[in-house]
Amino acid sequence: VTTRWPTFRIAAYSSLAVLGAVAALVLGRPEPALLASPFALYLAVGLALADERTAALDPATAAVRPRQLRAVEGDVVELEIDAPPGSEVRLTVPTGLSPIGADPASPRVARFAARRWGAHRVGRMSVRTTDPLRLFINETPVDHRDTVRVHPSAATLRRAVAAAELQRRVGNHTSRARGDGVEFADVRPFTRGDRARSVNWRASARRNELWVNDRRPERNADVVLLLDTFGDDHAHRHASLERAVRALAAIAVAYHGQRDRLGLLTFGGQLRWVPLGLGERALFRVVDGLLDTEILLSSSWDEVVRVPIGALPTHALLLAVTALDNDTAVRTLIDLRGRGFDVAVVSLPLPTDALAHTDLGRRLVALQRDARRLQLERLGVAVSTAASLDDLPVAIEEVERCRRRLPRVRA
Amino acid sequence: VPASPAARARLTAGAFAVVSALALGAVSLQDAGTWRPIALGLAAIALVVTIAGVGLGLPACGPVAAGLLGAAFLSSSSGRGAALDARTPFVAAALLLLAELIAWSAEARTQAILVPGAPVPRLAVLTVAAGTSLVAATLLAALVTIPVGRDLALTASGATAVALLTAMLVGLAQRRSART
Repeated sequence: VTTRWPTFRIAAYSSLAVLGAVAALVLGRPEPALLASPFALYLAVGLALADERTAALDPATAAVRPRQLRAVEGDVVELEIDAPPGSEVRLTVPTGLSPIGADPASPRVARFAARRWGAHRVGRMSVRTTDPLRLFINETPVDHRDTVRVHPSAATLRRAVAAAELQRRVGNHTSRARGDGVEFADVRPFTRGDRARSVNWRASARRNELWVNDRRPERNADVVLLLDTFGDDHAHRHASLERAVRALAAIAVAYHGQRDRLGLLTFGGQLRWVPLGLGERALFRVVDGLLDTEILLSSSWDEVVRVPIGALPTHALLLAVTALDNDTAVRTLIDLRGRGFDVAVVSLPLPTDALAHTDLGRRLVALQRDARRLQLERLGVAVSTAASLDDLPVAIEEVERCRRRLPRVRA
Repeated sequence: VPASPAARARLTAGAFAVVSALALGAVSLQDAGTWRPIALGLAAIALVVTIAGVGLGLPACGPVAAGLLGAAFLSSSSGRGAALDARTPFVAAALLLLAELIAWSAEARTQAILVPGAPVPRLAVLTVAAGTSLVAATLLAALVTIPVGRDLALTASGATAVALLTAMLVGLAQRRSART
């Protein structure tokens, strides 16, 4: 729908024209009428032209197209504007993007800095056109939305939590099993079927019979990242989600570097999962899943989440990032552990000051977190806490250390 | 860093508007006689309004400044006797030009993205408007020099013309703005 309204010219110029004419009559002199005549003429011609020249804009003829659909925080996102020549375009941009001025060389391109990660929907704008003498403004809203996905600028992790069970695909983890590989495991007597190149000639010469080298194969792992979006308070939930998404993005990049298969499960607002996948494509799907979490955050779900069996492959490591501030999330993790999954938890809690205003309240929050942590640890789930994102590598190491102490699990 | 076309337009139009206001003020003060203080006061206020319109981006300041400078010119011309001032058509066109320059400068301050390549460039529109205004005002000035006696019937017809003009403008504006 095109909205039309008059500019200041209609009222101001008609007032001047009438004032001049009246003054000429009252004073009995032609000068006031002569001085006002250009304004009357301007109005008369402008109103005559406005009828024919101005037409409602067809919204299909205007659009905003992002030049790139993906960016990383800090990148410049360019939006190409397609609108009638001479029109004024007012873009509605999400808060995650902030304008950094147009490029004088290409005035049809609006440039924005990607300030915050997220799936930012762009494309809403209003196009203003005017008649030649600018007596009326016609405004047409246009809404052809595209999504620009801004990935968080993830911290670099040198290593991630190793899965207890490795898969059969080639990867970067040295398996405990024996087979074809690079890492030396042991020597053993030659048996039928062993390759000649596996013979350890030095050991064979010493024992006067054929001995061969055993090696450990390199395998990959299946890892499902769990994102807890539970929370009682919307503001706190946003704050903890912000940290959790950044942490999980860093962890996902680390697993991608180790050639592990990656999946994602978000529970809280809605249960959503990204199936396991390998390579760059899987990484993008997981990060996209993390970004979409924010969009779905508005809904709430406070019951224990029953994750469907098909969503989680057996032998996969389930690495959860949670603030440990919600019983439902902890009960869901306990449920998964009870079903035999290999679960590890990195806790990224908000400072207690943000959740309680009194000293007693802060102590209570801390005690509740400790209780939830103990509940998980009693079931053999390794839990470590990172006070901030800078502590994430230390927390990962701590999880790894805890898992060595805890009994191994099998799905 | 090169200035954007909108910033260039804003600065150029604003500078020309201030120069036009100064020139119109100077014209008003010439031969003002006893009305000089009033003309000077009106011209000074008009200059302040012009600078405010350009500096703060208020397009509605244009007609106000034009009205004030027109009043200053009228006050000074009343001291010059009964003869029609030959400069009136030029001043009339310049007043419209001043109002439009202030509006141009103010409208170019927008945060919106101005898509280049308007079907009719604004400078051309402004030139044609000023030129046409000059021609129309000159024709009107020539018409009013025809000696016609002043009586009640003629004044009544003038008043009717004013009422008709007002009604026509209001009617046209309402009709055009009603279509959405």
